Amino acid sequence: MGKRRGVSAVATAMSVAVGAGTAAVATATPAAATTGVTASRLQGANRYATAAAVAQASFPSGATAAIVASGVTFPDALAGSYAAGRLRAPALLTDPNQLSPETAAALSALHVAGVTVVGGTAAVSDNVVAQLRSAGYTVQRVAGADRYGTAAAVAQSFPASFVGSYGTGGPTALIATGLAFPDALAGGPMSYDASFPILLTTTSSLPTTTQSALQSLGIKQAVVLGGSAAVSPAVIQQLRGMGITTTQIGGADRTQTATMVADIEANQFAWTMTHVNLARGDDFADALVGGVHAGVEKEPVVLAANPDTLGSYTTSWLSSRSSTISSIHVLGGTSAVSDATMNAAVAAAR
Amino acid sequence: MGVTNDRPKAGSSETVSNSATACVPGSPVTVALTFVAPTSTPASFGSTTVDNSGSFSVTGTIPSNANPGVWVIFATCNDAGGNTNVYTATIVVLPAQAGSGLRSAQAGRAVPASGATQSHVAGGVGSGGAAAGGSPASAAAVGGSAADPGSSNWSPPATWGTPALRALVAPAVSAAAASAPVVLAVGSHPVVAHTTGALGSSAPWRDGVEGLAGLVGLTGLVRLQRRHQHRRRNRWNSRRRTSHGSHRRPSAMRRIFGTKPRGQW
Repeated sequence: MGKRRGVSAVATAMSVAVGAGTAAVATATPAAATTGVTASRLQGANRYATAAAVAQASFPSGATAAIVASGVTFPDALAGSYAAGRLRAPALLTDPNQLSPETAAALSALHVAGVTVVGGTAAVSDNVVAQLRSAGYTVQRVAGADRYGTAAAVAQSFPASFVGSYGTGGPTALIATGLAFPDALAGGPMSYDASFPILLTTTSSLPTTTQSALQSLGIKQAVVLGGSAAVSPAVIQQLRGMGITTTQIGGADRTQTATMVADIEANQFAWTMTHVNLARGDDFADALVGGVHAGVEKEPVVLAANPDTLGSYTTSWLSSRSSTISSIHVLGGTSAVSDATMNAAVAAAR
Repeated sequence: MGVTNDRPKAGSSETVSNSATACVPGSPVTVALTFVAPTSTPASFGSTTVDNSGSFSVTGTIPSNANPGVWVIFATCNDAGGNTNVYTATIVVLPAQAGSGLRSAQAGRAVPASGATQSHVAGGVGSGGAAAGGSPASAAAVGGSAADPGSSNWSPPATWGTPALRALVAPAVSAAAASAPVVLAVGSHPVVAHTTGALGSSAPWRDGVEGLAGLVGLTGLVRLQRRHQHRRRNRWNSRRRTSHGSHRRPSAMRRIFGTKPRGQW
């Protein structure tokens, strides 16, 4: 698909802001001049409001169910994209101890009837569950004994027949370290759209809960996200010993890994790359909910190294895809991705 | 894959359908439903065969002992290449006795199939279950089918209340201009203050009106009015807009619902 070019077009920064349950669209300062690439923000006053804004942008007609995960700790939330994809459900975040008001408002606005809480009570407390039930939602919790168990539980909450395939390799899972969030989150859009469960591992060995899930789901192929520093050759050998073929995708850092995943999404799944989502890479919240958003759009999420730095790999990738990219969604406000970083992304994609 | 009601009660009937699938005409389709939980075992829902256009439709019953919560109904069939295609739809099963809270009592939406499907080999499971808004179904009866109220050919489903009620609701909806806000009323009392979105494709409008009409309609007491008409004719309504306290006129509600829906009025 050709890219729209306007010689005198001005990139506009549109802002979808959610605060206290109300959404507003406002035109902000132009991100850059004389480019055909537009940038807009999906943002709120905090991570919960940003998640709400992203969810409502992703599901403008509402949703039957929603995923709710912790907005404070990442481990139990990493696998949520798979559940969201199978349910075609938005992902929302909450304070672990009380239901965030922005989330409550979003659930109501989306006309959700059922909520699936991902994570144990340390991640999302029973008090939050009680608040959800009190508000009239059916609630079920999917959790394991630890982060690895929770990811396995999410994967096994759906029949094995739901698992998608990568190429001709048979049922496929994404494997990422459970000790950090960036690699697992990079796989979020693909997990959502292509139906690949996300399972977690330690660096040096495959947890037994992960092994059990791989076997029960009949996984034949694993796409390992992250380099050997995140997932060691020993884990790869364990996977192969289970009769699972592996493809490891690891960049020099989290931003490059995200761009490598984006290339797979373009090359293997024919995502158009006319639109890109940009999230900060040094925190998990925006990228987590952005993964679902990107899965809905069938467009990638790439990461900024930090709020004030786009990073060389992301810059290079945006430049390499400039022939197709015509718009960018920035996930979060200026404290998450600064205007300067957003402008740098627009300039790179120009 | 579409369903007639995305939030059915346990024990109720449900119809799932999909059109123009990649499945081989005449091949078998099996439909099951599974609770979203690691230890869940899928339950059979029904079976059929793919028709000549690649479509299928199955009516089954939600198990009466189904856990309330999020479930997935899924249909499997094979394409010409022998690949298994899986089509899914998300539903939320409500308790058989649901009715105390508005979210539980609120009428489910029919979810049309969106055609997002993928074969096992091609890369996963597609779900046509995105809630794209669709025809209304009443809270107590499943299977209502009608065009969007914003369209010109809309008519209330036969499952909505009495014939007199349907005759009352249809002209009001049809007559309302696309931009006209509406108020759902019981007697002369508006009961859905938030149902003021533009008539047409607004999902909040549909949900509010369809949900409440489906519920209240069973009593035969509902009528739909355009808001500007209501303003002229009903002094109480203007008080409602300036004082939240005036919402609290529970006697009419209690006559209808029996109990007070939590947090709604």
